[in-house]
Amino acid sequence: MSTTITEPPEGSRIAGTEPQLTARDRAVLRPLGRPSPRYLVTLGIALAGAVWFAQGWVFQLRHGLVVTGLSDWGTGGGVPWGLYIGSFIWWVGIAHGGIVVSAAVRLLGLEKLRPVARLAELLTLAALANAGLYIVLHLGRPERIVTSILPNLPQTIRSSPLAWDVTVITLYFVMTGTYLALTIRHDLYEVRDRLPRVLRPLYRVVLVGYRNGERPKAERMAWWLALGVIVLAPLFLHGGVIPWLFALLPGTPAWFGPVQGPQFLAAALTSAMGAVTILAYVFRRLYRWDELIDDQVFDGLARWTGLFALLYLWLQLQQVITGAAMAPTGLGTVAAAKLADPLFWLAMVLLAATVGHVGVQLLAPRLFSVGRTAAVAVLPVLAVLIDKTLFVVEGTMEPAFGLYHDLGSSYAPSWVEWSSVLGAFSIVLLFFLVAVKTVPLLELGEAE
Amino acid sequence: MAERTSADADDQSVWGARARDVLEGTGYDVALGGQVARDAQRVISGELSGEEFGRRYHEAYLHEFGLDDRPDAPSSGSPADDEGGEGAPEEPRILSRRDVLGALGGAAAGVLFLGEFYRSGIFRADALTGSGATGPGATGAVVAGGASATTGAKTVQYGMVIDLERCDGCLFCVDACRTENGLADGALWPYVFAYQEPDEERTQFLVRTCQQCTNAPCIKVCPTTARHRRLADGLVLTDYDVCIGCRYCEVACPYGVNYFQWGDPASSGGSFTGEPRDARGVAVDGDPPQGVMGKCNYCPLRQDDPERRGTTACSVACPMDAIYVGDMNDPESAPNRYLAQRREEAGGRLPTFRLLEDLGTEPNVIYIGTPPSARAELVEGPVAYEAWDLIEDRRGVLEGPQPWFQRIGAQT
Amino acid sequence: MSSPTYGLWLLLGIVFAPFYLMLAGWMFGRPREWRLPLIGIGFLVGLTVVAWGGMAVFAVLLEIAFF
Repeated sequence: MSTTITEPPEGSRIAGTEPQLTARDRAVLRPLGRPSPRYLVTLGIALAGAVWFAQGWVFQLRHGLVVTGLSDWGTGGGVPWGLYIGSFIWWVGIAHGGIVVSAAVRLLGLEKLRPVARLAELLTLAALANAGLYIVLHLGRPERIVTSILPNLPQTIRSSPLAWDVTVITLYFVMTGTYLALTIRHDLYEVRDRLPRVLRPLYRVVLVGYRNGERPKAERMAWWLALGVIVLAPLFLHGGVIPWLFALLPGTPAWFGPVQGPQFLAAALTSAMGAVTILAYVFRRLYRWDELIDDQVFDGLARWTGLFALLYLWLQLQQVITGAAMAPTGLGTVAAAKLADPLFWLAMVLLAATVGHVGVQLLAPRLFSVGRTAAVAVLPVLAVLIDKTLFVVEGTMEPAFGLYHDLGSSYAPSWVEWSSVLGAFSIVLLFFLVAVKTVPLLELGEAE
Repeated sequence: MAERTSADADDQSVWGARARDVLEGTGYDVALGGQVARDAQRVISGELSGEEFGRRYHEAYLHEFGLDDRPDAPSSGSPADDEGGEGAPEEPRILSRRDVLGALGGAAAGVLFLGEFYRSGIFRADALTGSGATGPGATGAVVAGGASATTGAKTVQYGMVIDLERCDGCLFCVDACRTENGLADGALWPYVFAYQEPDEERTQFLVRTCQQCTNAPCIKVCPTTARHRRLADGLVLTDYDVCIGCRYCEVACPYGVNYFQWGDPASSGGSFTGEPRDARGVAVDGDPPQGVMGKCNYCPLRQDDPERRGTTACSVACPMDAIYVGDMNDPESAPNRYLAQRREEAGGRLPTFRLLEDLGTEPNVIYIGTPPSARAELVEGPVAYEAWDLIEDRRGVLEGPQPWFQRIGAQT
Repeated sequence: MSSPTYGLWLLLGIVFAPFYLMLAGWMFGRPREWRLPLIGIGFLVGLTVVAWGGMAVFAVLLEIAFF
């Protein structure tokens, strides 16, 4: 298959010259130039965060998971799953931002969110990479991850929710990457002369077999992809195989039960919308994209965030009321423990504040502020990390086997575990620092 | 229901019986199906050519089904369907599968994926009646022969009868296990709860070992097949060479019997230097290596040894003779004989229970005594764990080495 | 007590259904052509190989360095 990155298939070489681009497209391409001092400083900070995380991980690899705050549950007095798994859930949830925004644009015709569609897709890729990283981090023997899992998948997929997870996350990652590739080919071709030459082989791969007239088909394929992923990701990933990791285990009343699917999904969508809001705000500020990512985008994102946060709170209520009213022993213990935990209430207050903020803006539109909307978006994102980590920890702290309760249990993440949270942030930051110099972060308009 | 074994699928008589079962369910000619299936195997082994196989049954096929869509059938261009594969389970038929997928929408990407599944034999009819992972699969571990896994039609399933009415909480069993397996600090493979019911003075005991569940959640959830059931005796074991240390078995087990190797065993009080490999050559015994899951395993190397079979470190050490190990499916096994004898002594009114039976795990440990109620409370036993130099609260000993920045901080 | 192969059908039958739908849409949806769908499938396969291949290389490095 021939690649056509440098030579247009027909006519003379005219593409890539300034007059072809509209003012909007020139603004979109603004970040592609030489790195500014501010960029280099940010890059330095991101690299420092990543290096700190890396040395923490090397420490863990050398000495084992003994360096975490984890222990065995039961007589071990701790929890075997903690912040790593909580963060894993969190990042998979944030990864839902990409598809929700894309689906809203392509399937529901919510054009006002189109400006942030590609940003959200990129966030999905970075967040899924982090989710994968957290699985590797969590393992006692990460060097066996491929040789032990892949050859045995035909066996394990029959009953292991973790095998399902690995499969579906791979599928989601691959579909998102393909979506991005299909929708970015046209843009890359248009601006090929402005892209960094070092990465030419990579662009060549993305542009494999590119033809000028392919855009209508590519758009249509993106539509089908969005349709596929909007069913796959919410219903079967964060409303499916991720909650099923927990909801299918009968020995853990905190986890077992059918509400976990909807509950996880609500959490995912809440944190995802919050994360997209923050991302959009950062880029709007950095590259003066006030016209490109206008106030409407933030208004729309805030409403979605508020709605999802409300659903999330509502599902918490369902869970608490069934556990607190006339519950069998196990469920009752779980609800009591949950209601006694200040961290649980912190998460709920953060969510309620999100809902309240959106409510006020709806009632009094003149109070709307982009900056405050972005600041408030941090709350639900944090709330989900707290609540999901608590959820993971509760499971083995409140087992059906009642005798263990008297032995007591506790968990506090170690510095190595906290370093991973910093590391995951640094990786997302690095990812976007690279992306901003290598691809147009917003979709280009019709140039010709 | 019995666990399916990959070995018994290869057993001719078992295979034949299953084929008959499947064929009888279809309402078609059973004798014809059997012949076709046998000849299909001859095709694979090279005894019979594909063309000859195609010719041989063409008319019979047309007569029975009204069509013959096998790939080797005369004048047949249509792809074979999955049914045709039943008689020829190992035949590589990726091409036909691709055709089927093509008809489904040209899902060429799926071929890679599904093709792998197909070759694994998972689409075979007998796979439908099987259970979850039962042995280390493609990772090279050897699964014991199917013949030794069955006595007649019955599966061998090791378990225990533990007489709680005899247990006096001395912790000999906990210590013997720790010594024989060289366990790291805080890994208490058997654990003895001492508890009291609200209105009772007496202290009661619950000896918690692995329950060797027939419907084991830990096997089901394992993403690698490391946690598996050994065919020879039904023991639920961990393949130390395959385990990735995800600890899913640990969170899935309602009994809390799993103990992870959080750090380097040698620097965590572990002292195992024995042979970890059982008769199959799979590393399953002793304190697990770093990053790998361990648990009470009923001393599989003892069960491999005809002279020590039916014993475990804990059962031998128990001064009260309260622990009996053996095949729970064999009425003549030591645990079943003991249970029968105790029942007889008690005039048929012996209280017994299985732990958390309502969770559906089908545990294979039968306790003589009464289960702790929901209001039972832990109390100090007659012998403290510290008296045996055993560590109960593992959190206290799971302290990794100091990181460099703390060492620097300490120096300045 | 439970159907032991449910996971296979759950995954390949239900969870993968949207994926099959997407492939069918690519192939038979309008504007109808085969070239770009094949490139799309190339991306799907390529990304799978890159993701797991990358992981395999990383695992080998871990093995050499730490285990």
